[in-house]
Amino acid sequence: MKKRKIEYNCEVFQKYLVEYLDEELPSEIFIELEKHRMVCRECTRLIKSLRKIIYELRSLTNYEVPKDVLERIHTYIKIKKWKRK
Amino acid sequence: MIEKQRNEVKKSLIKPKEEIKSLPLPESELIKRAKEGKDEFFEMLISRYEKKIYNLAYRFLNNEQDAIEVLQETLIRAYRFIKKFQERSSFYTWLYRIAMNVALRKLKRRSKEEKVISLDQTVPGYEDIPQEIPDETQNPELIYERKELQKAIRKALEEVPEVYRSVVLLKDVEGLSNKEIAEILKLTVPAVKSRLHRGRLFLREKLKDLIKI
Repeated sequence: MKKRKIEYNCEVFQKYLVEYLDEELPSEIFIELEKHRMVCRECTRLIKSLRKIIYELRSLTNYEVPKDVLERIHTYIKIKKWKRK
Repeated sequence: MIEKQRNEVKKSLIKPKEEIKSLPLPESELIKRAKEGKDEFFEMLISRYEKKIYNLAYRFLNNEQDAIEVLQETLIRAYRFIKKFQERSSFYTWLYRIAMNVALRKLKRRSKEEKVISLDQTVPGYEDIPQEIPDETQNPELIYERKELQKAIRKALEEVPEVYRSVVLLKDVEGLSNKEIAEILKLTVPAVKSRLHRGRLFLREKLKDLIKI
């Protein structure tokens, strides 16, 4: 039986989106997806916007742990240990 | 003269005792000593992750008090069960798993309690979050836009359904691998990918007006 050739369209592109963004795809699939992306405005926009979101998520500023909290937790642990003795 | 020079070179090669003492110990060593019941090593070990756990919990639960409680319970559980940690996964995967379990339990409890709406509910105040010092050489308009985008991303993250939010946080904020996330959340890798996909698309939909592409 002849192997059916996959048509690389928007639907297939979406299917591989996570692996595409993580750069985890075998090169033959990646090349086919790239060929599609280069002619598809929608998929190009999709990738660009997701990359921007991921970049912003990675650079989110951290919340500071309130100063007294860690001290309280460490004291609590010490008391627990002392009680167990 | 040559002897003097030789001594100086020797001195520069030998690290002073104090410096050796303050060198960071490898994590495996900290785990070993923490398992032996040496508290100072347990404290050194968890000090590497306290801030991360707190931020993960804060972003997952959108509430400062809940984040404090998750951090507290996670560290206490880690302290109680460190001897049972079998080191089949990395320490932080183990610690994140405890934190996510505590956070998920809290979320379930909260959804039950929320049937009665509390007027005292704390809403995270973005104004209080320390912002990065902006690069003065950048365009002020760009700085403003970026700040707005970050604010919108925090808000959008709050709205991502919890099943997707946990995965997005662990992957895109914390930078863990799909395999590590699968271990933490007890999911399969395809399930992690599927949730990640949906979560990212959800965020994109929420942010479509702000992301000018």
